[in-house]
Amino acid sequence: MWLQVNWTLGGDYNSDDRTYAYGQASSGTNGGQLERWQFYDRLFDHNLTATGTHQFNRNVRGGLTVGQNLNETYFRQVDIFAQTWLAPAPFKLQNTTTRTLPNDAEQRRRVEGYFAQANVDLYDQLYLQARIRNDANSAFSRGHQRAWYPGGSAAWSFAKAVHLPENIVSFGKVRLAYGESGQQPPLYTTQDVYTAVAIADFNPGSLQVPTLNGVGGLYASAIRGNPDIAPERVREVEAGVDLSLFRGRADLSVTRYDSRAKDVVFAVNLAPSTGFTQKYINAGELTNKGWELTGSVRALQRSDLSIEVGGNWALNRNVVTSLGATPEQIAGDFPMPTPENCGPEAKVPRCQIGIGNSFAGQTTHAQIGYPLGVWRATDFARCGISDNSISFGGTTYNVGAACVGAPRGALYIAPNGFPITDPTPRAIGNPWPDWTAGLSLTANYRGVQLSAFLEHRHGGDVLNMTRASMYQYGTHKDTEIRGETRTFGKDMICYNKTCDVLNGPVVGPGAGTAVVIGEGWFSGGPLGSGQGATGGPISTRIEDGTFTRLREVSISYSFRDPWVNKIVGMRQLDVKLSGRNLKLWTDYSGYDPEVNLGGAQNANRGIDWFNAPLARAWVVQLTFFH
Amino acid sequence: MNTYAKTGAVLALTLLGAGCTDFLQGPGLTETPNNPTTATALQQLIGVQANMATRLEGQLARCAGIFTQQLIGSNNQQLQWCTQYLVAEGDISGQMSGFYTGGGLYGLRNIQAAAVASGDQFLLGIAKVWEGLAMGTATSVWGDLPYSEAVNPAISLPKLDSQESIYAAVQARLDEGIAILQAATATGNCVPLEGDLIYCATAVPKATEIQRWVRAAYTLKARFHLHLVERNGNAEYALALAAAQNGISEAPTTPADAMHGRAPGDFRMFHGSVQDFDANVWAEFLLARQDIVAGNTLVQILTTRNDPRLLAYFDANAQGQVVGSDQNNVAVRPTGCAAPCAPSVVNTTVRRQFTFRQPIVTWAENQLIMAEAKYMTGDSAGAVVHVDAVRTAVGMPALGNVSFNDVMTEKYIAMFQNIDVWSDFKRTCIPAVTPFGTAAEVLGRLPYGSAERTANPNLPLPSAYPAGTTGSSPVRNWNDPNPC
Repeated sequence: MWLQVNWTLGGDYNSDDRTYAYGQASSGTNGGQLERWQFYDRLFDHNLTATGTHQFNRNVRGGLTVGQNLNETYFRQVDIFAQTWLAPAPFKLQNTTTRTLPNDAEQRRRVEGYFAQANVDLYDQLYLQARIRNDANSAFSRGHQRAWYPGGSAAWSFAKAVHLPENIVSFGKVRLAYGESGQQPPLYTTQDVYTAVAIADFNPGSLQVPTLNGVGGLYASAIRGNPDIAPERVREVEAGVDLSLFRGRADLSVTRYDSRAKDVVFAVNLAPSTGFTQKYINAGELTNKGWELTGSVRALQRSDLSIEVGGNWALNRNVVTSLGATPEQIAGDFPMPTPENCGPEAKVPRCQIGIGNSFAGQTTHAQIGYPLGVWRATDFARCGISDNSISFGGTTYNVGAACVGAPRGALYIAPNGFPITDPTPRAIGNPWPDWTAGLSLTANYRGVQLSAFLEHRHGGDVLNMTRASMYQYGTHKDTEIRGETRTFGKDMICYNKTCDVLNGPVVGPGAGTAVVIGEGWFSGGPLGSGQGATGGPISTRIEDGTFTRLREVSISYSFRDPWVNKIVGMRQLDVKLSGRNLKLWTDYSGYDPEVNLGGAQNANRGIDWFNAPLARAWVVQLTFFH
Repeated sequence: MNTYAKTGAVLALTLLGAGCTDFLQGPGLTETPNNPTTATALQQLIGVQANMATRLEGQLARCAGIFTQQLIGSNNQQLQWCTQYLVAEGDISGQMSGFYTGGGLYGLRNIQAAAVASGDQFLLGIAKVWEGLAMGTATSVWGDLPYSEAVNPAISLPKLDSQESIYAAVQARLDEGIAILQAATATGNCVPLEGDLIYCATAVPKATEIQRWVRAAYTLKARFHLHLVERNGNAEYALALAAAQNGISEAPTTPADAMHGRAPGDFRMFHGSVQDFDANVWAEFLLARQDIVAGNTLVQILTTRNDPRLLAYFDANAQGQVVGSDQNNVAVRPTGCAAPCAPSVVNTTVRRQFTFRQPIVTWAENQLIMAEAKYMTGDSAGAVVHVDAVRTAVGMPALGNVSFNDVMTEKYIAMFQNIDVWSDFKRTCIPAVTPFGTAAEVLGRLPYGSAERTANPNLPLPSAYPAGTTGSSPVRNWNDPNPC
């Protein structure tokens, strides 16, 4: 069949209806509260493709695919909060005294794409592919809704053409690929809008809604619309080699990639004194470069025993290279946001934007010269990092004078024997690992299969907020030293790389002074100003999360003996016993460096705040075959 | 071949058909279906009033009360930010932004533009007074700020105006507001649905509404003249006195009204009865969080002089005592106080009711501005009259003569929960308080918000302040050159 046409039409609908009720005696709300939520989700997808193939001659084969994709997603949310029950039951809206402003929001998006892909196979050796897409997304502004994305790849299976010793290299392929792609923009960013959302003084705690005395109000949203929002573009080049070695006894695959994203849509910060705090613009540029290696060795291959060892290694370097520039910077009135002009402080506009926030004393950012997701926080006043004069708690300290001749990063100690906080936030800490690797072993002895998997993550900071919170409440075992003396730079309590700061070099009028450590340091008070607490400088709790974990060990066997049929009436019984997360080797002072406060999301990684560690599990699995 | 022809036809038609209809256009696709894209001046006036309640009754007022030790932050952020002077630019960023965005200066300029277009003189006048109140309060807290270049669509990096020039501009705004209001039509009754929640939450004669706005604006002029006394001396007192003599003049009719800023001409934020909706912001905060207790300084002053406002401001314990905490958050326990003798909280029966309309500018403030100005320009006999008026209104005995300390102590008591008590303290250093821990002085300003500082290079790094501004020291603004 030289032409194949395929049409897929799909639809999906789901709805979610929730009621949360707090009784009349509930302590957090006067008289009780009701929340009613309704969510609707609908998706349509249409895919029409036609593929044709043709054998031109014995050595050349070609194919062409064209297609169309139409997709619509629709989401709607209606929610309303009501207060103060009239009667203790029923939990219905009509049984409440007041209702706050309901929320009724829709999100609708349509995507229209056309693509064509041609591939040519030559001499069973050279595989060429070229493709082009035209994608349109309704969320972009009119006039900018469509974009072309080309791509292509070439792969050469060279083992036949290049005469390599067959007993060393039995198969080899070299590949090169180039592709361009885009991302979905956030919805509804093209206009200035007005809103009646509650205004916060302290959230949660004190809010005001702009409907007062029965008169409805609105105020301008602080997010400025961008009528020119356009598609972003990622260009990636990837090259690699796949080899099969020693007559199939070993495989090796190496890939190198370099991807650059331009016109990335970011919500950049505007100066609030302009009346707006944010605007979505096409301004960002990011690069991702890295290596990936996978390999395996069939160390032993006998009829009764086989052993295979596999491994992988990956390294990725992500850098934010641009977030655009304001007209004043382009005109030369202010310095442009380069890594030198920005520095870790982000000194000029468009050096950084916030992308996440977790109350953990740090915020997550895109910052020029740093990986996406770098943390910014305040630190202690330290030599070579802080400015010469630092104000803390109403007093000004001459840090510059004390730091003359001191090593970079030395801790400044005030006359009272404690360090002080530098109020300027800087890029400090990065939850992304330097590299990751894995090792696997599979062995089979007369039908008994044993497998094991070992995983290593190297680098990546973890914020031990669990320890910091327990310090604040005095429940951590370390706080038993309350009333004892310690000296910064000598014997202060520290873990992992916090020791580099707390017990590293010290300078200043109070350097070497022994101080009483207690509630004043761990929680709040004149002796230490609570700098050991969760609101204090991040250096007390930022640790290196390098770990090695025995992820899984399992042993299994298939029983096909006659007794299987006699006892259970089945033809075959597979028994598998596995242990997961059996052992962890790490210098992290918490339970598990692999937890994440934000769950499975990117904006707030590497924060351990009373998260349960990954559980060790033993699993027995029985599979019966009839 | 027939099947191929059919397939090809289907394909061609589908591709063609779908491409022809404008799949990407339609309601709710590019344009938002969720929010209006226009708003009337009335709607934005309500938005501004809701926002100004959070600014004037919120974190700035809490820190001002704690810095002057009327109250003490006992837990969490109020302890760290205000009691311990550790407030950082990331902590205060939302408060500063709120003076400029949709419920702040941007909204006020929209309202003024709409009022000019529609010829609504009253709306224009009150919007000018709101702008004066907002920017005057902001500059008293932060010092130099963007103003002349703020909310200008052509300028994305507004420069800082000096605090001195902002005060001058604020006086100009208030003068403009007064002039426009005095020329506005004053017939019939005001209409609550027209959105003036300060002086027309319920209908009163239009002339009364306008006159109350004008008088409040004069008291604000007097207030902001006092902020320049440390720099400009007695000349500023003369200007303050002249303005206050046109200020709020309707006296409260009952002692309770006097204690809670409920005189008929007092400028009070409107509040309703629903939590997290329209309730008093102090009440909402203190219900959700128990992070603030009575300050020993104020408690001692009120207890020693047997002031009825002790129980109007705070709740007593079972023994009828009010317990305050000192600057280090340690409760100062009176004799006979049974354990645990916890520090007292803000009064629940009146001041923490959701419907309590928070006084921002009052008759008592106006009287005491005149008292201070007269005293400092040599008319201490005149000063006594005003001090006694405030005292007798709450049920305290009159004084024969007064010292400057008496005048400012009276003002300190009257300005409970008001951001401006901090300016009075910065100017006069009364009452004498001990700063927290080993701090050299009480904080005289709040740091610039991080959102403004990172996006606007005109603002200095926190460790560089006051470089690039007219600030007097790392912890004091230009108008506060002398530490206490």
